[in-house]
Amino acid sequence: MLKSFIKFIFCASPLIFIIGVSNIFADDNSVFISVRAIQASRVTTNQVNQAGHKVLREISPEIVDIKGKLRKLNYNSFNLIGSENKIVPINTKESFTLSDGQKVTLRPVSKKDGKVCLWINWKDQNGMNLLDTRLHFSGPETMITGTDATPESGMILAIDVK
Amino acid sequence: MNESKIKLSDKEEELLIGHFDGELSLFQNFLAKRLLQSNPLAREYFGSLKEVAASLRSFKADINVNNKVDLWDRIERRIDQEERAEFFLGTRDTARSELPTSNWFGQFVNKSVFGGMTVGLATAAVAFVALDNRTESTPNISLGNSVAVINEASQARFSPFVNSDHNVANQVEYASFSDSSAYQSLAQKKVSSNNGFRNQKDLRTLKRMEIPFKVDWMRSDGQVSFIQDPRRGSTVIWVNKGSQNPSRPIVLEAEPKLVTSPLDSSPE
Repeated sequence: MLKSFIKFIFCASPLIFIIGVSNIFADDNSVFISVRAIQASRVTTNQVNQAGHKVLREISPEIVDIKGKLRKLNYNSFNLIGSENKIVPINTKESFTLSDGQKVTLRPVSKKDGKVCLWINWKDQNGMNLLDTRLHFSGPETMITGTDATPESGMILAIDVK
Repeated sequence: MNESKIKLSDKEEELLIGHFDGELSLFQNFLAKRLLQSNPLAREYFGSLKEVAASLRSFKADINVNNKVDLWDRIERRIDQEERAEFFLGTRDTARSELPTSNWFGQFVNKSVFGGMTVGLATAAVAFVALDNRTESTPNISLGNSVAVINEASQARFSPFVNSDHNVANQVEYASFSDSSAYQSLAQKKVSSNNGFRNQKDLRTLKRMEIPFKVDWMRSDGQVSFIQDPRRGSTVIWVNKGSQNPSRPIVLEAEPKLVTSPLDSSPE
């Protein structure tokens, strides 16, 4: 009885070791990336809120979590035009194509202790290199980047990494 | 007449309050009920407790009814007003006016406060110089600690690395925007100029900024601005396509070897 038990432990130990090690590193093998594309524009509105005050900004309900950051930009209308969530393995490129032909390519470089290193490349429809950078996210923070599409409108990307 | 008949003792009051709040044990509840039955003052006190509770409830309900307004909208407008006022009128200074200055104690306090501030400033200056010397030997850029590091880096350290041309470093600028275009022109701060940090106020403003991520390097065919609201610890990276400079695509660069080698624009 004891002999068979020892034999079982001996045979199963490599398997247990592999499962344990893979569980330890499983969380650091992929990164959850969320990209939201926001169209910003300067429009005049006559809307008033409940208190009778003029509404200064129009913001889609899907992006109210970054309202505080968007208010720094010189636009008063922000509409979500697309969003995509993906789980991307480390060192794997993932491209997000925006509606107007712009392309965002992301590649998680590393992930350790919740800190994510991310390579971001954003090209416009003409192939212009809008942004090419490598950033380190140390926590759940939304990165906001944008560009002026026309004199009265802009394109904003809100990138979340977990 | 015994005083206990005129006024309830502290223990009796505590017992009644506990009974009212439902925090007593079975035996204590029995004692409280017996006190209420035997003592009219206790009944009066207990009644006053009920009245206070009822008035508080009605007051709370009144607040809830009256507060159904968009508070965020109010806060947002207030922040905008404060920002405009700060640019046109300077920083609001309330602490000094609250200090007593008329009497001897007030003057003593003022002297202590300003003496402390002077020592603090001197210490900060020494610390800044020490940190500045230390960061010069650091090859990596850390935007997480202070934006001032970026600016100094772009001015003092990147220039020799990137090119002798200062235009590259000058492409990094910091700006603060709001709705009004007039305000925008006033608020926009090009801190990263050829003169570097001449203005200590700008330096202090930038030191308050916090970028929630660290940047290894960054490049763009356009002009990159870091838009920062000093009151919020967040930064927006804005690319101006109109002022593109294809011959000088590098905006920030930490490692000299990446500058000299051909740059692959797509992630590897």
